[in-house]
Amino acid sequence: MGRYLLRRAGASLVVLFLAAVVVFAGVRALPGDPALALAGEERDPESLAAIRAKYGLDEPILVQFWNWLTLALQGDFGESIRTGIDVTDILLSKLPITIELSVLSVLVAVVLGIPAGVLAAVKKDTWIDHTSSGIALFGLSIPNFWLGLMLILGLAIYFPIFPASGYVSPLEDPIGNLMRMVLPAFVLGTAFTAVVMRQMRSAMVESLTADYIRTARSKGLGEFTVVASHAMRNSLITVTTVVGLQLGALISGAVVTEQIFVIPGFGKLIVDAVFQRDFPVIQGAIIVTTAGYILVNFVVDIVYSLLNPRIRITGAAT
Amino acid sequence: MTLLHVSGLSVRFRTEDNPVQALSDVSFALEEREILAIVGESGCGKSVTAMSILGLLPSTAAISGRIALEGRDLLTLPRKELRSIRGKELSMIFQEPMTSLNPVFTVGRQVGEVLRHHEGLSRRAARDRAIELLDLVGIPAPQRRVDEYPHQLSGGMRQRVMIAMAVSCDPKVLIADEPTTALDVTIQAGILDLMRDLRDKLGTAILLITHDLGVVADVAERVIVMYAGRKVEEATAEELFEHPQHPYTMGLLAAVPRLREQPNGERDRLAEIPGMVPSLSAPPSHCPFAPRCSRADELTLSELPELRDVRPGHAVACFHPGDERTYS
Ligand SMILES: Nc1ncnc2c1ncn2[C@@H]1O[C@H](COP(=O)(O)OP(=O)(O)OP(=O)(O)O)[C@@H](O)[C@H]1O
Ligand SMILES: [Mg+2]
Repeated sequence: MGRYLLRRAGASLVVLFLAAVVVFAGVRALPGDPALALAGEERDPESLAAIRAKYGLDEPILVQFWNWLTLALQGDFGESIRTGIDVTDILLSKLPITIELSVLSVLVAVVLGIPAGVLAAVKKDTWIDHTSSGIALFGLSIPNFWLGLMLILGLAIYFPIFPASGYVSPLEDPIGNLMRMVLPAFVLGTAFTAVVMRQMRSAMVESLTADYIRTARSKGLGEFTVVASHAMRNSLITVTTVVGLQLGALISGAVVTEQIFVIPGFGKLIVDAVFQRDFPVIQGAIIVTTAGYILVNFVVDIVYSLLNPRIRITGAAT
Repeated sequence: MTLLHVSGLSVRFRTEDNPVQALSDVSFALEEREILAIVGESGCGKSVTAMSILGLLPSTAAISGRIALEGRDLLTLPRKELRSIRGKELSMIFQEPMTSLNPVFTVGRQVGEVLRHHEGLSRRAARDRAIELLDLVGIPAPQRRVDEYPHQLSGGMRQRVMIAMAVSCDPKVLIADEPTTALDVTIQAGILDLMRDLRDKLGTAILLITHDLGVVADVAERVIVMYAGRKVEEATAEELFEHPQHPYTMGLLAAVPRLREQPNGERDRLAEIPGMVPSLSAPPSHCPFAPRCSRADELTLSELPELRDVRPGHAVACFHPGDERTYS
């Protein structure tokens, strides 16, 4: 197990480095010269050159990359070329907001998706199965922005139960924070719920036909124990992996959701930074997002191996 | 005394196309401390018989007849009561030791689970008892094995775990559905010995399902031969091997490999039973074996033979029973 984790950690570093290369190159490929954008009214060559020199934009791209990478490794992502604020500070202030939103929407997905999937599998081919599978398909195909707008219309404006948008820190006003997070978490969690439900359903359908389920029944165990203990434990192993892979989709979903509900998280930060060609902010935000994604996958892997004795005991990879 | 009494058991499966008549009017009795074997080719309904006794058939099965365990009809018993019998008075081991244990739980937990469920043992007590049981079924180093997972055990060891689980509550009846079929020949004998031992020690009556007459000769005291969902012959093991009456049984016996050499130095040619098992979705109204039988005549091809005693304690469903010499 230890060796396995070490190997995984090494692989993660490689991925992170590649991500850094791609992000750096990608940001440079964006149309629009940041110096031009920054210069505003004064577009004479001299002030443009001054701006380029100030932000190191006149150096060869490899040098720029090296400078950025060495500083980034020390946790220094430079300053925003818009506001001059330290990028690391910006990231640290936005990160908890997006983490809260993601965790809440994963919670929504797990709390709704797992029981629904189990129920659909147990009641396979009945109206319960058909209905929940139908809802899941609907949840998968419905665009986040549309669902978000409909929910705002319905539950914030027509029936003003929840605030339409905005964010308050849970430290200042926990209830207000939660009230503002309910709709976005639901919107962001919808597609995810559908994925979890469908995965859980198919994993459970398979588990329930396994020989060990027949054994469990032959022992005289009640149907609840058979399903909840013997079948679910095996299904969760499969679902954990798939769900882990889906977490990436959550990040792109967060970008849209944060726009709709005007939540000042990572998603909104990245979109604003892209429009403003704020290179350091874009790079920092995306690298941190990638690192978060890798970290989550790492955790999913560990959870997976904890659930699966075959891997836990022999330490075999994959 | 009769422990388990199956009478007139018929099972019909609803399927996408034609219904399948898996069992037709099967009756037999299992006595206390007895090892009764059910033999027959693949698909003749051996497993369906076992599953109906435990109430494990899918909901597509229509079951009729009576299955009485010490007077209680298992087919009409409320589910809750049936569950309190399963695993406690009536338990089962299956053909596939590799997949019959749950891969995510330790062996000890799976054995202990039965004890905790039926006897209300604490986690600790169940574990201690599981170790004793693993020892009883001949698993070396049970103290260590109890915390291992199924994938760490060989097929033979897993089957022993299944047996430990099945006998943990000291059941009256143990149904073993092809318990050795998936195992190496060298391991088979050990498992059979173990089952006979357990019968001697615990007094468990065993219904042993197999298609292997070698296994029958090894351990069974009485034998039921099944063909196409029907019982076609029943006798004590000795009687059946000495005086087989049904041509199908003779065919099965001739198909058993023997190492004995013929006087002319050649090995015995393995005799195959010619022809195919009849379709169970359109069961014939005549003797189901007739199309494959060398003794078939007009009677055989028009009527269904009833089971009747042809020798003391030896019943057969055949119009032309008897051994080859007396017949031809
Ligand atoms: N769930 C089911 N639905 C439809 N038909 C079934 C079902 N289960 C069993 N059958 C049919 O019933 C017949 C008897 O099956 P069974 O499993 O009892 O055979 P078996 O004697 O145990 O054979 P084997 O030696 O291969 O285990 C077969 O023709 C099989 O196709
Ligand atoms: Mg079978």
